[in-house]
Amino acid sequence: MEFSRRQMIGAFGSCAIASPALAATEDAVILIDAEFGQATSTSAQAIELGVRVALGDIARSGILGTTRLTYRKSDNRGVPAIAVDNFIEAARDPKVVAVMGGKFSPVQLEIVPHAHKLGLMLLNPWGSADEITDHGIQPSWTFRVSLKDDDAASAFINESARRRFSNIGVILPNTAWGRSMSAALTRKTAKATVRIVEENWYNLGERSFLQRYTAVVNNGAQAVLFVANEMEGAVLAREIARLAPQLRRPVLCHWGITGGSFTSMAADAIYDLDWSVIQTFSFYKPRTAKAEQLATSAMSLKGAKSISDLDSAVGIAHGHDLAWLTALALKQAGGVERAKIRAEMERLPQFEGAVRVYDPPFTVQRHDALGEHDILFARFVRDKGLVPV
Amino acid sequence: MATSPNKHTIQRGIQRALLITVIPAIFLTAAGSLWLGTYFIDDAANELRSSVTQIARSRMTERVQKKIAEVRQVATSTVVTTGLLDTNGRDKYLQPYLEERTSASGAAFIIYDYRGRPLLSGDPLSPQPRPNPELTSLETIRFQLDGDGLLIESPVRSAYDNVIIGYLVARSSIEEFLSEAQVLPSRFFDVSANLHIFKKGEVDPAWFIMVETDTEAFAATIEVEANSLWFRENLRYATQIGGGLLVLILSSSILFARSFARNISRPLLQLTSAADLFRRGRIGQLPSSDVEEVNQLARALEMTFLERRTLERKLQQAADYDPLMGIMSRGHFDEQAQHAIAECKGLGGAILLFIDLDQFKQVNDRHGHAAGDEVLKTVATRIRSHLRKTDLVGRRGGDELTILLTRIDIIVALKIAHELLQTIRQSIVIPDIGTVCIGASIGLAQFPEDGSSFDELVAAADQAMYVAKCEGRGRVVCASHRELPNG
Repeated sequence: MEFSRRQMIGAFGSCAIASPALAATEDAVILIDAEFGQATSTSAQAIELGVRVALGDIARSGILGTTRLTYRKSDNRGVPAIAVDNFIEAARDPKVVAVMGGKFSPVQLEIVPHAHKLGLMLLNPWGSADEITDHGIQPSWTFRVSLKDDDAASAFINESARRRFSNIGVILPNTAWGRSMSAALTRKTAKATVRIVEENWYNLGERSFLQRYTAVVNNGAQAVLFVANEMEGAVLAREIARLAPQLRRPVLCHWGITGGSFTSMAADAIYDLDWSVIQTFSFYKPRTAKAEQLATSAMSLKGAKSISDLDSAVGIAHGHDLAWLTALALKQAGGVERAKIRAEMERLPQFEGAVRVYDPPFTVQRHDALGEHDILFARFVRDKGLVPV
Repeated sequence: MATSPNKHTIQRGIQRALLITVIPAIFLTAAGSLWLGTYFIDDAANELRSSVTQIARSRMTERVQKKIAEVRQVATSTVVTTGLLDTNGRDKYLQPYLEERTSASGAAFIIYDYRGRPLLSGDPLSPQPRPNPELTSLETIRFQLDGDGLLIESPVRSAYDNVIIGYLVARSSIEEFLSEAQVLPSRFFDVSANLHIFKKGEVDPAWFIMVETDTEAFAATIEVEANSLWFRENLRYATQIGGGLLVLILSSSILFARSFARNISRPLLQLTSAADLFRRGRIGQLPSSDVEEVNQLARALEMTFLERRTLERKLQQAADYDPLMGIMSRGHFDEQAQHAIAECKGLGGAILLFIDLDQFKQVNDRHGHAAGDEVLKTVATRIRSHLRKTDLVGRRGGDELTILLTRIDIIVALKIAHELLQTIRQSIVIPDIGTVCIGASIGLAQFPEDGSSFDELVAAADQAMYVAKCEGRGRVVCASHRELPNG
């Protein structure tokens, strides 16, 4: 089925009606434009869940006074062109104070120039491509509470070194995300002992990675750094699981696979593999009290019995923290004027979020709230999900 | 008149036959020509149009399917899919890929986003907005043929689900397409027309061409082409001329048939009249016709008439004249005599002589019947030579003869009777037998003095001859006077 403009608007409206946070007197709106309609995606839903928890808490805290902060959502299907159209449409509504994106870096990157042109904040709770925030435009209208590839590259190199992998092979997508990651790895490996023996690029939608994996391994890779989303990740995991043990190599995986139903697609194969995933947050290892509160509220809202049911935990935490930071900026701005809110984002005080304590969250020069020290590696554990190593 | 019904029967029969056959034939022919000239031609044109369309569809479908397969291969390539999910950094790999495909297939590829906007920046083709963007809701591969070339558009679907995330349009030159479809007359495609090929069925895709509202020009052109085909125009003329000629021929046939019927019926009527005349004893004028068969029939009938007349005359001759003596038979003599007596009434008298040969029986007995016959022939010849041509001579039977002398005085008649006695008495030479002498007795009766009717006259003459026999033979006895002096 084709995703039409009319359908997007329909999704837009239906969410507004369904959301308990919305009221007829809404004053400020955060639009979550993410890959809601993508069949295997869980990231968009996780971000929404985090935002809902935050908005509920914000409303109860009364920090915004009479101003009501709500959210709407639109579905960009992970397609940059759709996301840009949604963003432009959202910019026409003065109540929309910010647009929060989904997990796809190319989508966010395509919005960046429009965000600056239209003067509407782009909040990035997942995309890791450096240029989402490192675009050199001042003032910057993009704010990220998420992993950044530059930091991720350092983390991968460090993890490889820690695990005594001197040669690693990289399999990465032929997209802006892959290019961002490749550039970061090139920068980081220049000073490191870890060497990249091969970069193997793939296109989205490929049905097999065995040939690429074999090529990387044959070039002497002791471990494979796999930059992928859930679909490609599940394919490679199942293919490696079918190989003889001596042919298997540890996989250090970027976190795109956790933005979808990776475990259900990879099935039991993932539990037999040495498969580590980079993360910034885990409910199994909360760093703040807000994280524990978030787990409780999120499970309550979702009807989950345990934190293992909270898929895409980084999306929940990042979305939650970004919503809170936006609310704080809104409070400091004293109104819904976008430019003021954006400026106040750079002047926020210390804030304890779910991921960490932001001190401060952003500055004029730094629009990334997280850093390398926030990164952790996790592995899939049966019945628990993604558990920090 | 007996021939009248026949005349009417023949003519009316012919006329009726004409009415039954020719006139309906004219109507049918005219209707047929009309049908041929209008509906049939239109039907033929429609059929032609349909055939051309079917051929065009078949060939175009075949060719387009090949093109579509190429386009689909590109559209489903992971490079294109990735490009539509990537940023503008796609230009570095997508543009070279499309250029490579262009050099391989000859078609220029253009990628549009999900709303039909050109995807690649700085596209060398400077593509227009995606054709017919209002049709984006159709999940089809679209095919468009216009003056610029052949456009095939395929949706590009997401790598993660079935959502259409963009469109790939392949633009081929129309010449290149037409050169592939060589079996199609180029005129069918020398138009500005839009055709859309839709996929029907997911499992077993079948492609069909749908002519939409904006492609009426194509259909119209096919119609124009079909209308302008040489044979169609000439077929129309041919049917019109042919129909006219047919009507002319049938009209001529009617006139000819009527004339022919007259040429037959008229001589037949004349022949019938001639036959009636012949039945009444006369031969009429036999017809002369342009129809040779009729003339042959007339000639045959004429010959039949003449032969029958000759035969009748012979039969009449045989009946009217005694074959041995060459004089009238009794019946014919009586008839002629009665007629003559009737004519003589008031114009002078008529004398009947009743002659009986004397001793004739002895001749037969002595010399045989052949001799008797010879005697009779000689007597008859002598009597005829002694009488006028207007006098009637007949054999009454055996050796009896009667003679009717008209418009003659009794004295002259008596003199003739005596001269006849003298003539008869002359000896008769019979070959192988010799000379025979014979006499005669003659009774004479005068009309109307001795009898007012022929029968009475004969009876009176017979009575007078009997008297002459009784009185010694060789003499003439007059019924009125009983006896007249010899000589």
